[in-house]
Amino acid sequence: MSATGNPSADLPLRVKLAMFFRLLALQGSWNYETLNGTGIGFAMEPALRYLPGGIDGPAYRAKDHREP
Amino acid sequence: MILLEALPIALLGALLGLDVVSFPQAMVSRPIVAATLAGAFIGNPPAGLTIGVVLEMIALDTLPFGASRYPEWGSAGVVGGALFAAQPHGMPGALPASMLAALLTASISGWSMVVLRRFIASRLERTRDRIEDGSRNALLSLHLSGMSVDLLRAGLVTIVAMIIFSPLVRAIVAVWGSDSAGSRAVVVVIAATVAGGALWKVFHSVAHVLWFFLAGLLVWGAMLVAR
Repeated sequence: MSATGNPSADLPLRVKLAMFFRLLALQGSWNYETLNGTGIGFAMEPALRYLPGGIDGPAYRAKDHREP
Repeated sequence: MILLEALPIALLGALLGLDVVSFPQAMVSRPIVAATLAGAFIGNPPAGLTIGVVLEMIALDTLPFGASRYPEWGSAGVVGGALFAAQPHGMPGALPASMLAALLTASISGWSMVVLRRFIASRLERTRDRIEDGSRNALLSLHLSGMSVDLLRAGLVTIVAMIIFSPLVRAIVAVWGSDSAGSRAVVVVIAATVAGGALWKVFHSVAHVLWFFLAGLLVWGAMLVAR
């Protein structure tokens, strides 16, 4: 977390822009099973790369895990 | 209409069909915009705008969000606009026949969206394990393929509708017996009835919206008088 207390403040501008444009495609994989779920994952993915360990880390790999 | 003539319209229908849900929901898929753009493609934007207004009044009744099933107006607006703009000016049957073609297209295209969503769900089932294991590629692949298939779906619906309805509308217009005023009156009454029903629902479900509507009506009336 950043000094401001806002975790998104640490993200580079290009990541925020990437997330914004991905949000415009939020419903690209809308379906009757997970509804917007995969779209949310798609939109958040650029920021999740900054989790500890990067895209190979356990935090990133756990991002899409759903409890039944 | 030969295939080559329908291709630019199909491309427009594909892009505007994509705008309905997948990307970017910029409201360019609303029939009033879609039909006007299609009319411009044919070389007659005022005709596209005319049928666009009629279709927009009918489209007001559907609220497209979430899991609700609704007509897909992006491709249908393009089909309606292109068909009406392609008819000779002043033909009495052009507006009702084009509107009917657009309504059928909207209904069929709406059904195709349900099929697409089931297809995405079935694809999700096959890749669920990889996605839940955190595979970036599986997630991106599912999402981008969903958008690509949606683009393809809208393009296919548009081109098939143009190929079927273009000669059909031309044939209907050629044998249409009623006069121009009567034909247009039927279309306007149908569209106004549906739009009136939509407004009635909104007036009874959203607070104070009636006053906003009346204020808008007043401003529009004043502008009309001032001209």
